[in-house]
Amino acid sequence: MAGRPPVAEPLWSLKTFAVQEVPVVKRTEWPRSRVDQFILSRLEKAGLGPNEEAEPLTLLRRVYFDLIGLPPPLEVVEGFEMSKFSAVVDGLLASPEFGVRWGRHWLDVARYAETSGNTRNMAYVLAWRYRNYVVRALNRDTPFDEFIHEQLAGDLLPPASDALRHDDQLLATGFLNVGVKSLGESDLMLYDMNVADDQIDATCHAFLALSANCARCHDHKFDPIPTADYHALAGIFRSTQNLSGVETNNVKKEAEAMPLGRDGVQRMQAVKQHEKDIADMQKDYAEVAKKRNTMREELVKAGIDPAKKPAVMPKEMMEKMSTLTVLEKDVGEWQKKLAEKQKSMPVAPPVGMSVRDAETPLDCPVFDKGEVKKPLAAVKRGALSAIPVKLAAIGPKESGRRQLADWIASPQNPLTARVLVNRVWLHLFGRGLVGTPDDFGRMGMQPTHPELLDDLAARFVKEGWSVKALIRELVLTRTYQMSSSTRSEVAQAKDPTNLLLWRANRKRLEAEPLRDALLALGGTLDLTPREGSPVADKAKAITPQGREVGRKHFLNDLQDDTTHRSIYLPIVRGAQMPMMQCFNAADPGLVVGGRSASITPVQSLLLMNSEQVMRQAEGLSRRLGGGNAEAKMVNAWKMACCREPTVEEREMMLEFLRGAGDSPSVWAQLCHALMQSGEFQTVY
Amino acid sequence: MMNNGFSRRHLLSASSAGFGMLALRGLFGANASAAARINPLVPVQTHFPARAQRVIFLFMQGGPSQVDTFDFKPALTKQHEVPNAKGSTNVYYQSPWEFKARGQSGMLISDLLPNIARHADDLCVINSMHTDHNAHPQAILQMNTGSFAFTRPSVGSWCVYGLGTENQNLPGFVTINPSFSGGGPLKHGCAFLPAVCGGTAIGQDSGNGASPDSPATSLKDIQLPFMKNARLDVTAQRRQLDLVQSLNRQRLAQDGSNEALEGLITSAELAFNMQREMPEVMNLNKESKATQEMYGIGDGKVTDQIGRACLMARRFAESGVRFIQVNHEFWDDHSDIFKGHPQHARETDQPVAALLTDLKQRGLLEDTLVLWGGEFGRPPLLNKNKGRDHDHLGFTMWMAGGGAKPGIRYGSTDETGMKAEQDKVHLHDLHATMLHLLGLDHERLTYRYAGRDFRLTDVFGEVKRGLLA
Repeated sequence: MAGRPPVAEPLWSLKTFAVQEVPVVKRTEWPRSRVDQFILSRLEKAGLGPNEEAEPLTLLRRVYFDLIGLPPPLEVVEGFEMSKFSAVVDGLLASPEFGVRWGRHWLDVARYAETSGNTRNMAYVLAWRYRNYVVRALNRDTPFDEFIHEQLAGDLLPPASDALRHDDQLLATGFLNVGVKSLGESDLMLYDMNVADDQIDATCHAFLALSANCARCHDHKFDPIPTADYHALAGIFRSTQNLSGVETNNVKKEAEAMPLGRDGVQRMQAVKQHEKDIADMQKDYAEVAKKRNTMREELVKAGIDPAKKPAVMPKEMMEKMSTLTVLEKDVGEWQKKLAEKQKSMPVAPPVGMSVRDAETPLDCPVFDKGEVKKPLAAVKRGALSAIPVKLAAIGPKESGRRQLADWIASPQNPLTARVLVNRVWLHLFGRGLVGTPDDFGRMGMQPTHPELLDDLAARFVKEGWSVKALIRELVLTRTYQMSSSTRSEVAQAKDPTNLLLWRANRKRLEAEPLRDALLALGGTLDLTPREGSPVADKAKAITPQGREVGRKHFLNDLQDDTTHRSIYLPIVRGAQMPMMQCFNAADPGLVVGGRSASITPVQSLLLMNSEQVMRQAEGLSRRLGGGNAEAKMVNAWKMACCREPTVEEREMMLEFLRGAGDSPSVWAQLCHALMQSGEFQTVY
Repeated sequence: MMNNGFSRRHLLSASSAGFGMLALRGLFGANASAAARINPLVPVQTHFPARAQRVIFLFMQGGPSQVDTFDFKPALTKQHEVPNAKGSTNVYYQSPWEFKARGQSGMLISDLLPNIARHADDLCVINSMHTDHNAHPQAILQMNTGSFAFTRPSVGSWCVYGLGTENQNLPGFVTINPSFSGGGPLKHGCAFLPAVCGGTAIGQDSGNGASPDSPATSLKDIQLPFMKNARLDVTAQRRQLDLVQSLNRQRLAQDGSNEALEGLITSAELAFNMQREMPEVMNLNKESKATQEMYGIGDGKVTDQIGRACLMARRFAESGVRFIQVNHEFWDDHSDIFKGHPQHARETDQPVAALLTDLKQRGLLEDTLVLWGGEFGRPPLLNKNKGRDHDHLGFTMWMAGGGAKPGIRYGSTDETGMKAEQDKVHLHDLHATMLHLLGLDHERLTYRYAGRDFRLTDVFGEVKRGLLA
């Protein structure tokens, strides 16, 4: 069971993994898959038996929320039987809503947000393109090793032949750029190191579940990460430039955004050239205009009004007058030319928030105790020495991101596949096989089922890193399909926290599926993917340096007024939308593999009193059909909880109707009550 | 005196909640790493006997000048208007405000804060504060979270995490009139701590210096979101909640053990009570005219906003809120400090003094730690714009009540008041000492996140015994 190994033992997570032999079980009729055999074998050893199978409709609701984060529609509920289960699973995996659900899981570990956070919280107006890339990548089931490559070094990959796919390669590197930046920092070296620190943190936590950051100041106390390794990684990231419009008074060196589209770079060059041409013309024009003005002034000084062109003038003035006429004509022509040039400005290509290699890559010195004023010797750019995978040589002109991506995505990397498999397991089963999804180090927990974890990881790699295939395999197991009932007293006594998986875990709906489900019930959910973002919209009118959250109320007034899925809500670091904040959405200042499940009265207050929630309740009450009270009630339950109410529950609601009166507004109250119920907020 | 954080009242309120507060542990699924410790709402056994049960932090954002308030520097008279370096446009400048000996302690406090000065014998003035950064955003964030570079839980959220709260019907941490600058809501955020530890914001200050396009939200009759149902009266809402709860109990009976559902049931009851109690505590009309006047509350008065904030703070303290922060900005007088500082003083001096008086007369000061100060101070120099710039190397904060030693000045700055010199107190030391007074060992108040045990004081901080009564 989970615990800490003595320090002398090599770390379990750094040992290699391989496909395991499937253990023998006594109840041979129970397992349906390899996974089931591993689970059952542990249960049998502990003298426990698995729970019975969940009710079909419970399972239907479970798999809908787990795979696409939405409740099953009424017609699906009504026509469902267990024989259709695998077809339902395939349908959900193929649905575009799958990427929305699982993309959000990834955005949690990618600490995705649309502002820089920290002391000067500046808008990232292009971050949403990374968000949408993640949704697309999950939907097309990009093999996970490729997903890693794209996010760390998409700009260095051979360009995909499909133009949109190539854009995605570029947008993927937004992973490195959307982190927390201390843009108020005036010490640029410290700023640089802080940016690198965020990138090291995100990369190591997201892909390897290791925290390398302690090693910024001292050798890691528990895990085999020396400061030299940290600074080897820092060298890679400091040799990488962020391409985005982030600019403040302190930080001006951020390069411009990445041009997208087949010929994006050329188009951007054309725009730049055109701008330069205009600037040059402007200069010439200014010169001519200046000459003209001087001439005018001279005439005026001599008491001559050039506009009137007097018939009699001294000869000298006559000459000046005729020069002026020529100059006036020139000025007019220049103006016309300029206007034409401006009109023929090529349309700028769309741009993205990406990264690229710096012109002169550099090795980073180790900083004594992390202090940027105390540089020691530089260390070669590289990766973590404790992981037994060789990093390819980094050329002097390269940052090393490509090599780092290869190293992380290597089939031999003992962490990468284990960490990913564990994350998927966590989202389906409510707890990872390793209870600390972001920490596979010594301070983390050991796996409850080490052989199963290794078997899954090894097969995941061998079978092509397909996340969808992994999910499909897992939801079709008996283990996934068990009931979540806690009524078995024996099991409850022996394994109250269900580490051995004798039952399914009940899961609280997270902020996004909760909101999405409310909108779906209210009949207002808009499933079209959202291009753009309110953050970008509101920033349009403001110069890049001024796009600071809070300044002149910028982004202070963002509203949860969209009916798109919650993944498309704006994300301001430090100030998320109330429903997201209150229902434990991931804090984008941190890499969050497993969210908090805390229950607070503020959550109840929101569900009780939010106008938005009550509007959805009203919507639901109008969607219950024209039957009698009982029939309407049944429909409400089927939509909200995916089952018919029991006799007792019907009686409770009828009593409520008797007390409050059978009016449309009371029906809305009744639907609202259902939305506040524990069952609605829970995946059983 | 109870010293383990529990009182009769807690036990009573906990048991009257019916389902047992253990239910709130939030063990949904088993994925409860972040919520597993306890229900953060329940009072917790402290590491050792607590001197303070709660904190009121009066945050003077922008940085009040120490040599014009609590740090008398006679040497400045000699060097008055002498440039601090050859060719410098900055000159040493003695305070234009007269320092006088106050109270029995004879503590020297300037005329800039005449009302607070009357409480000299209650103040534990720290003249030797210092911090790591001399820019506002970083220093503000560090003052409020201990860290200026990373997303970390705020001081208030650590206190709620460490102590729970005395009143289940109110949040454990409220922050009144917070500004959006300097990290905005990160100043009262909870980062990786359980969401319930985060601060509840009431109102919003204006942002860097009041400007017409972003005025402060008036605290007069302010309401919090989601605290009131716009469609249902209390009776109708109770009837609805009764339905919700009977459905919940019905489900619970079928489920067998289900701590999470029990938690939801309790939480809904708390919420129902909170929407009654919170507006009541925030309703200052319940206070007598005399009290309101003492705090400087009144339409058009410069003291109205902070007066309301301070009176609300007292009401929260009385009602069992653990950490109450009152925010005022923006003491950042780079130009014409002669005009700016008196303005900020006028807005805050009377309300803060009234708060001390009020806490004292109600016996609350004994176990309430009041903390006053900015994210840093200002140098003893006057720049060419007749202002003083930033000074993070030496500045003054004060504590009162809650086990802080009254009537003393602790530590000192150098001759001119520029740099902390004797008995220096770093910001981390202040946080460590504050936690100590709350009965918490800053080295043991940790939270495991992503493989590391985090602390408010990171790897720093030392309890300054000389500050303890």
